[in-house]
Amino acid sequence: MTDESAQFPSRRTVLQKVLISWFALLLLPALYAVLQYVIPPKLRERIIESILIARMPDVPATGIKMVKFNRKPVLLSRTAEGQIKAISGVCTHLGCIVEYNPGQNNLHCNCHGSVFTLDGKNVSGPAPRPLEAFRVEIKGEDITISIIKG
Amino acid sequence: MESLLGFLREKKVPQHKHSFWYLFGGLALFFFIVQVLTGMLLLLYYSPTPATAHESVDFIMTQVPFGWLIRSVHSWSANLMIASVFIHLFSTFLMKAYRKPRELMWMSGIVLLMIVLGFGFTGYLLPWDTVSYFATQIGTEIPRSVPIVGPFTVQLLRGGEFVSAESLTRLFALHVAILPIISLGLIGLHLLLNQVYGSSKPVGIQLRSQGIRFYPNYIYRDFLSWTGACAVLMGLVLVFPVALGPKADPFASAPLGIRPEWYFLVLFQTLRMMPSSLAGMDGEMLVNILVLLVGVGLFLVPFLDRRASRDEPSPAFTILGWAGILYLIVAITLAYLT
Amino acid sequence: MDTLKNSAGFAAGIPDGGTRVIILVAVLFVLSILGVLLVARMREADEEAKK
Repeated sequence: MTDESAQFPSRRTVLQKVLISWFALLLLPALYAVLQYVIPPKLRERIIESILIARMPDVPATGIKMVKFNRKPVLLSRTAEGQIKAISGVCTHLGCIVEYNPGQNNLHCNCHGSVFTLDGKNVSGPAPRPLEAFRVEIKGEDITISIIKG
Repeated sequence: MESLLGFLREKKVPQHKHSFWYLFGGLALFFFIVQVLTGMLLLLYYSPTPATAHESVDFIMTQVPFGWLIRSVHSWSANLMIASVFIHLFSTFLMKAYRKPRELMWMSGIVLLMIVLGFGFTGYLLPWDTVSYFATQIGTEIPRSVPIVGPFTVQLLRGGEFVSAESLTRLFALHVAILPIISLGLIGLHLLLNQVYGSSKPVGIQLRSQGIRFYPNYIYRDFLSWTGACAVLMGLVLVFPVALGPKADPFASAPLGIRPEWYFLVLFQTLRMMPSSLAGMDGEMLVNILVLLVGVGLFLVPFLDRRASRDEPSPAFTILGWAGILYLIVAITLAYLT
Repeated sequence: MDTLKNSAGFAAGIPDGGTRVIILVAVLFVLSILGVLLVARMREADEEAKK
C-alpha cells in the first residue's frame, strides 16, 4: 500500500481544487431551492393580528368558550366582575392544550399537571409562565381579540 | 476511503472505438440518484389517498416554493433514466458483454430493467389525474388473459377488482419502499460485479491502449457525462415543465387519445396490432406469451449465445439486437402517428 | 390541507417562460464551466498516468 501511495500522490493539484470549489459553489443554489422547499408553507401564512372572534352571549357566565385564533385555541371567560378575558389554551410548559376543570373552575394541563387560573396565571405544576393573554375589545356585542406585542 | 480508492484504481476500462457506450450505465446511476433525492423531497408533501393525492400534488405545484421544479425533475429524470437503461441494454447486448464470466451481471441488469419499468408504472398513478388513472386501469388489465394466474395477478396489482384507493396504496408502497429496497441491493450487486470483472471488451475488437484506470482517469469521463446529463435534464425541465392534469373521476368515461408513457408504447402498439385471435389463440394472451418469452429470453441470453461464450463472433445475436432496436423505433413511431 | 380546491390552470405554479429561460441560461452557463474544468482535470490526470 505504501508503494501505491508513492505512485499516486494524494496531493491535490490546483486544477482539482478549483474543480471541487466550483462544484461546491454550484451546489449552493440547489441547496437553497431544497431549503425553501422543505420549509413548511404553513409557516409562511400571514399571522392574523386582530379578529372579531365571538359575540357576548357566546361566553358563559361560568366556564369557558373555546375559539380558534391563528390555528390555536383561545379560551374566553368572564371574570367575577363580568369582564371578558382571552387567554391562549396552549400550556407554556411543553405546548399541550389545557382542559377546563369545572370542579375547581380552573385550567388543568393533562400532560404534566400544570394548573392555571381562568385568567391564565400559573398556579402549580411545571409551567414556567402564565398562559399567553390577548387584548380584548368589546363593541356592542362583538368581541375582538388581538395579539399583544412585545 | 483510501482503500476504496485503491480498489477502484485496480479496475481498468478498455479503450476502443465503442468505448463511448460504457457511459450509459453510469448515466442510469446518475438519474437513479436524482430520483432518490427528488423522490424523498416529494414524499414530504405527497399524500397517497384518492381524496388527497391530486390535491397534495397540486399543493406541491402551487404552494411549495420550487415544488414545480422538484416534481418536473423527478418526472423528466425518470424518463431519462429509462432511456439510459435501454441504451445501456442494447449497447451491452450488441457488444456481447453478457458472455462469460459476466452472466450474473447481465441477469441482474435485466431484473433492474424490469424494476425500472416497474418504477415508471407505479409512479404514474400517484398524481391521481385522469390520464394516469385510466392508463393504470388499462395497464393492470393486461395480465388478465393469462390462464389461471391472470385474473389473480390483476387483483394482486390493484388490491381489489378495480383501480381504487387500495390500488393507490399498493402502487405507492411498491414505488417508495418495495422497489427501492430491491433496486438498491441489485444495483450494489451490479456495481460490485462490474468492479470485480471490469468492463467487457467486445469480441475481436482492436484495443487502442491498455485501458485506463477507473480512478482517477475514467471517473472524470463519467462526471463529464453526468454534467451533460444534468444540462439535458434541466433543459427539458425548464422548457417542458410537467403540468398536472385534472383530477381522476373513476366514473367518467375514458378520455380520447389515452396513451401510456413512451416506454410502454411498444407493448401498447403490439396489443393494438395483434388480431383478436391468431391460430386459434386469443390475441391478448399471445402478447402476454410473447412478453414472457422476450423477458425470459433476455434473461438467459448469456447461456443461449454459445458462440459468444467461446469468444467467437455471433452474428445471429447481433442481428437480433438490431431487430429489437428497429422494432422499438417502429412501434413507438406508429403509436405516435396513429 | 387547506387548499382542497384544484387550481384553475393545469400549469398553475410553474413560472412563466421568460423566467424559466433565464434560469436555464444560468444553469447551462454554470454547468459549461464545470464541464471545461472537468475536461482540463481529465487531461491532467491522463498526462500523469502516462508518466
